[in-house]
Amino acid sequence: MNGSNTQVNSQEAKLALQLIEQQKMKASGVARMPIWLNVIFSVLVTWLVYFELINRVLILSDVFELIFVLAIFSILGLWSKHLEAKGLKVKWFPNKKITYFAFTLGVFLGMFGDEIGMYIYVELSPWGGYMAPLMTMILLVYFGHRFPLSEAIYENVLNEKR
Amino acid sequence: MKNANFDELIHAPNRLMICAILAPVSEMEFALLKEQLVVSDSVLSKHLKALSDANYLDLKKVTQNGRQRTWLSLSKVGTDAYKAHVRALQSILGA
Repeated sequence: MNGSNTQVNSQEAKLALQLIEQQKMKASGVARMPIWLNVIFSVLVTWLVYFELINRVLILSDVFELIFVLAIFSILGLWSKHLEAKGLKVKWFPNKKITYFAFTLGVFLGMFGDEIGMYIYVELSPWGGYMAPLMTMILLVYFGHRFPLSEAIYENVLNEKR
Repeated sequence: MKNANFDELIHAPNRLMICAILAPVSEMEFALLKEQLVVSDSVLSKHLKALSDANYLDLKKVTQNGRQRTWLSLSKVGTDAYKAHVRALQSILGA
């Protein structure tokens, strides 16, 4: 650290950090999907993750799995195009802890989602079969809404009195 | 611990806001940045030039649908300087 920061007091540093959080909120606000699209997207992802489990009731053809994949990528692609038209290009894989966490969770659910769902279905039947997909969907909606740019907003910084 | 370095160039409020809003995105267009910061073209251009002169900013002019658009992004140098500045601010607060 050079000597300049000795001239900056803690109040000024706090104001600067508040300013930063406000800008992060603005960028997140632009990138955030409308809630209805976020819900549709999360339902599709949940449906794909727990396809075998949900299919016990709906008995769909396997081709629907491919349709869900296409629908998910179409939503992401169209939303990306929409943002680009507005003047924003997002980072698809930002170098953040939350991105790696989401990626690892996604791979884990992709590999074991059906097994986890079936286990819960068998052990906690009849409601257990609904709980795992429902919880997954709620978490997807929450994280999609809260961290659209994989950026945590430090509300404690924002809320501190000036 | 990662490097913390107070950066006078970034610390000016408008430039700090520019860095903070560009850091989490890949690129942002001039018009949208101006709208978000609620500043005039000239004020924004002046601060962008200061950041660009220090190699903190990458500017890309492209013509889309017959209209010229300027896309802005933080360079690697700019991103590192911004992160170091944020760490310096946090260290002042003892965070």
